[in-house]
Amino acid sequence: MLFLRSFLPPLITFLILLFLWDYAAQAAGQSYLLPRPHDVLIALIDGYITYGTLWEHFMVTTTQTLLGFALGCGIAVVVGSFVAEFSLVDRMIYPFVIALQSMPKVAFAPLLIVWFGFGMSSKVVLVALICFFPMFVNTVVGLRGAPVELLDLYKAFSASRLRSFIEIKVPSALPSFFAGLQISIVFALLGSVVGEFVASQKGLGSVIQAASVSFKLPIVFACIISLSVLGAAMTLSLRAVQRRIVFWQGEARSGEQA
Amino acid sequence: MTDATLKAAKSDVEFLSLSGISVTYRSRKGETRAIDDLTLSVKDGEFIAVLGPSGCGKSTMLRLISGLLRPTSGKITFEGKHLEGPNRDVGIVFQNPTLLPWKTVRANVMMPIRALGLREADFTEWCDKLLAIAGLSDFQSAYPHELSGGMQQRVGICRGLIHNPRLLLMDEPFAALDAMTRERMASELQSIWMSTGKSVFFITHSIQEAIFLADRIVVLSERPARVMEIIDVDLPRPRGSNTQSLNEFGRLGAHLRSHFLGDQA
Repeated sequence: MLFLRSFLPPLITFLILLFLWDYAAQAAGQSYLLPRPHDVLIALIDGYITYGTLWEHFMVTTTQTLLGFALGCGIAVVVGSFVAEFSLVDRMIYPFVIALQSMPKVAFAPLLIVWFGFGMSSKVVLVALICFFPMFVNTVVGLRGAPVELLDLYKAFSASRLRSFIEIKVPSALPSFFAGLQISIVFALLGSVVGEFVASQKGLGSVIQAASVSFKLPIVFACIISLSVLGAAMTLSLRAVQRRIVFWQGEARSGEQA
Repeated sequence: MTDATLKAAKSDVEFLSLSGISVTYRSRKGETRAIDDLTLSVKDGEFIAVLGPSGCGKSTMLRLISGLLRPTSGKITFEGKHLEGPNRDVGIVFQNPTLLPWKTVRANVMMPIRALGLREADFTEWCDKLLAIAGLSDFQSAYPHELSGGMQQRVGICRGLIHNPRLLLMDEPFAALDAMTRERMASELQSIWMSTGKSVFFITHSIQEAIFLADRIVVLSERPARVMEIIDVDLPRPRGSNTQSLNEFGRLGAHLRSHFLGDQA
């Protein structure tokens, strides 16, 4: 029953789309413009099983995305904490952050390649730069949203500032903190691929570029599917961690509905 | 605690007194006077209700007594000493329970002990006792989101009492609850108060609640808050479902109402 209710409807949609895709590919008749689904499947099997050539690229993209994500979010949490906690730091940094926030960070990609080379490090820096802003804003908002009454209570008990930061502000900020991570992880993959488009020897983005230039579209599709699987896996595992750590959030919502 | 020992515990010593307190807030729009020349005192073990229209500066009083706000003029003495910094000897119960959602009921109650830097082991028994008085013994390892609004507020009351403060400050603690729960909580607060013997400073805008709970009612005017009248409530304790039908209850209610209706006319 559970299977029928939760897995069957999306499966039907998937099959319909697959059928339409296949039909369109046949109607177009030019397989080098739109490959048929089974060509893509073969490309996937070749890439990951028969020859295993895609694994290396998959791992490169995954590693640089996660490294950049961790670096960008880590710096954002530290800087965000100082901004939220000290009004002087806030006044010194915030205007620049707001100015930089509206700027498309991918515009830095060629510059970063010049500075950090064709390898992974330039992409790591680009991803970190992109991840920084959503994480920063959510950290500041979360820390500032801690209940004033509790902070007053801690103040009345003459507890130290560090103490109320650790015991009240940080846990109160967790839901907002995870919202920031969710946005950043999506942008991280985007930045990673864009960085690879600009210049690189390895990674799914570079494979997409090389294969599309030589019209090997099944490989392009195989890489796009790999990227969506990677993105979904990262988002879902983040959500699973969130559900464990911020356990009161989802429960409270379902409690309200009941 | 019997009525006799309760009377004995109540001394006539004024351990909290506010004399000639004024508070003025400065903002860009100019100055707002929240409290004007307010004088009142709380005796040991006394239940004081502060009754006033909403927005009359009651919460400002709470911040004054907990030492978070200095008066613009006037003097606050607590246990004979001039109150100058944060007051560790008060417990505060807010309008909303404001519990920590990531901590169990027990950890929430123990929160002030950690904040004060005291030894948790010294307060384990007292915590058990408070939870028992509040009827929460079976829920001590539950999380706040698993409790009803009334239960959450009782956790808040236990938290206010855990460090054995001389005074419990309550800022419209039942305002967010439904009418039925509200009445039950009032009678539960009475029994918690009677069995702990603390002084309570209870801010409310419910006339019935004030009469039901208090030894004395301080009636405040609209902003800026001034003391309009202080009324002794001489009703037998413990007060219960019959109390409201007493003539005295009705008389006091009518008298208090005349203050606020008179103001509008």
